[in-house]
Amino acid sequence: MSGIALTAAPPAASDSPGLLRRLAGNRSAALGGVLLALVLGFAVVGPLLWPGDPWEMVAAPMLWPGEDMANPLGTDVMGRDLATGLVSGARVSLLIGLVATLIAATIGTLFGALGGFYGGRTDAVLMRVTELFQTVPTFVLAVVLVAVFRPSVTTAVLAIGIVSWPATARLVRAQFLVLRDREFVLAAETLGMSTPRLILTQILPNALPPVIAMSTLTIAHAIQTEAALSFLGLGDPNVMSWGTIIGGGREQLTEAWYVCGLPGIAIIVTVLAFNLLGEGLNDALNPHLQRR
Amino acid sequence: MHRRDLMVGGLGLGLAALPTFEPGTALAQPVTPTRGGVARIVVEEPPILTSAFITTMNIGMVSSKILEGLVSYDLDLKPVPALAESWETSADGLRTTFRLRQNAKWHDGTPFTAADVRFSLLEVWKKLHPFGRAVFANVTEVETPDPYTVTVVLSAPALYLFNYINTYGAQILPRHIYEGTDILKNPANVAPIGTGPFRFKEWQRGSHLVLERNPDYWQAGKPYLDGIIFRFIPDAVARSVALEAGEIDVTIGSLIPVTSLRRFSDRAKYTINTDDGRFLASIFLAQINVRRPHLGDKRVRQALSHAIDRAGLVRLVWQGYGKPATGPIPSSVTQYYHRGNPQAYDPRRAEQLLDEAGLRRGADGKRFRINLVSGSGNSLESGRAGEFIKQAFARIGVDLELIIEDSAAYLRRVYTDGDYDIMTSSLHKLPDPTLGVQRLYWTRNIVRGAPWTNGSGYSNPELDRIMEAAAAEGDLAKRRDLVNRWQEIVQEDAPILDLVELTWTTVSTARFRKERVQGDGMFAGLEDAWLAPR
Repeated sequence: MSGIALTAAPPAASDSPGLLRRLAGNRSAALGGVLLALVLGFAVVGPLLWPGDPWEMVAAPMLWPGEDMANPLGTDVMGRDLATGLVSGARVSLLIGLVATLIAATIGTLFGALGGFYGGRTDAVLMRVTELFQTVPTFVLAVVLVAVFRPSVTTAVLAIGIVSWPATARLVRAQFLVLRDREFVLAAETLGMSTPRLILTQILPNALPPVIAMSTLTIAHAIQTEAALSFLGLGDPNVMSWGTIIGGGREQLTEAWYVCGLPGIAIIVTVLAFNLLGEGLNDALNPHLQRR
Repeated sequence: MHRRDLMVGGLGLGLAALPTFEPGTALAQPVTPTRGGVARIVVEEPPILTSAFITTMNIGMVSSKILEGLVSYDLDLKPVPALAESWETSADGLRTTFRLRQNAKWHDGTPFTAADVRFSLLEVWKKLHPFGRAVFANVTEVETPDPYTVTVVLSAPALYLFNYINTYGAQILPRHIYEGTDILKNPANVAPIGTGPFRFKEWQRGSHLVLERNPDYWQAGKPYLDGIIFRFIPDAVARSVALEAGEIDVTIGSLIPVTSLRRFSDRAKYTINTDDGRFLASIFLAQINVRRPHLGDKRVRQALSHAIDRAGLVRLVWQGYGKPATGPIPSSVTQYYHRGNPQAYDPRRAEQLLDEAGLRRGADGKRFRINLVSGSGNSLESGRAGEFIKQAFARIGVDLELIIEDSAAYLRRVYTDGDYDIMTSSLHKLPDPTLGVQRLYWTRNIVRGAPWTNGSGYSNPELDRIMEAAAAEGDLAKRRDLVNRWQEIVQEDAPILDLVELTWTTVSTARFRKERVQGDGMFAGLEDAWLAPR
């Protein structure tokens, strides 16, 4: 029976054929993918079109978009080219979003997996810690963390990662609680599989799909958080991110709305892309849908 | 929100004025003042309402309407009578006598007398005021031969004393309210009883503060206004909108960002006064930590100075509201200003100096890396200036890392830990160098943990002697020579790069008028202000 159960173990969802096709068939996922491709393209190709230092003061201050084709998207209050700034911002935002999410997913998965697998006292302790983080408003905690350790890209990434993991931990724990008692897990255990191997090769692959979907949403949230931190002046002063541009332009909102508006649109598009993609992934990776 | 660095007390009060590119627009309006009406003025909310022992600027902006000083200052920063009608100094410079107004009364009806001045000087300014301790250090006794005469007896001449006795620097408190109490905790600090043109009425914290006309004011027929409402609007955009909508009449203390000032350029509708803050003589500067590697070499410091285009800084960051600084004393302090600027913008000379100092460009084009620290509570312009300087240094191969920290961490890093290469700040140089400038260079003022002291660690015994001699010199011509020598030395050694002479703006609707133009108009009593009919 145990042998049968082992072979009957559901394959890891991410390996399953047809994922891309299912994603493409999902309207929101497709739209998200297209938008994300646009943003990625902008970040990759942008430096070729608008090379140079985004901090360099190259033209008259507060040029409107289209006013001078040398600076197609206009300039900010200190005469810095906005197109160059937006390209820099795209790279910074995507980088921070991805790394912060990786940190959140790692911590969250670790907490959730251990708690869900062992249960009992381990679970109780880990979940109380998780709750501790969940009860503090995430943005306030991020502000405090960045302010305490001097604002920089590293502290922003760490702070965002640290405030974003509890949801993942909850999700992974729930998955583990369910999978822990499934036949294929019991079978593997009976066969004498070591605990780490059991967790890593049997349970985790099956618990991951919803985590991937959630992480996509976490990326979107991380990008927003970074922008908000920079807006408040808590971004890395040496790095031009979208939030930096918005923060620098907010005093001129009534005179030159586009300084805040353009990076604002960039943030909306990027966050929307990740949200749609996350939702699409969630549908596509849903184990129930998959088995049918 | 901005300018927090200017308000933190230390030692920087200034008397010097900023040169203005717009003549005082309140000047010469041959219009008869209109009586009545309430002026609505926006300031940053002050923590208390007396300036007698604290230098926070927004306290002065409000308290100056209620409490007064011996003098105020004109555009040349010369003293103009206020509660003191006249004054004279003895030939040896050791006795200064003030004759006081005989018809001034405190708001509770008690007559104002010489005893109030004596008490304020000896018990409040000399003991509790951060600058007063220096200003009145030489005062050995205050004599009051009659109720309207005060004679200040000095151990050594102190010409600078006349530069700091207005309502912001030396505010006179009522002795009968304060004597025998804990002055710092006296309830009158938040509900003051003064001699000024307006009486305290109500303070709704977080919202507004109401003053009403003092009908018994010693200047007959004044004030013209029935009252003043101070409103607190924390958001800069909201302030601009409120002024445009006619919901407020005046904003004091550069509360409208320079980038928004063009919206108020229509002279028929608005007035932008750039003279009100002359008294503070504020300069935006970069202080270099001379204890750091490379930065102990004056050639390197001179190179950094040559690398910064001060005119560009004024144009781009301050939108023209300011003036390139040439030395430690701003040009508006005409008595002592030294014209020469040995470190004009010259990036090639900068590179040459760095080469001479042995700091050649590496394979990556960079010579060395240093940091620049500023406070997040500093002005908007301060952050942008850091970005500007970073670009300027990059051009001469110096890699600059910007560090922005909250005010407490910034002060600790600079003045306690000394863990920085360059810091930027806006400091009041005051109209007299002994008061506002000496503190930044004096060896004895290298005080660990004390903000706004000599934080660069620069020490030059020859300069120390010159500064000390200048302080005690009673002859103006000789003193000017000493101060000139002093300026030459610090321009050559460049432990501090003075970058921009700051302009403080008061933006008001054109309806708001004032008879007298003041160099300390930020701290005007406004007894001579009125609102023209719509």
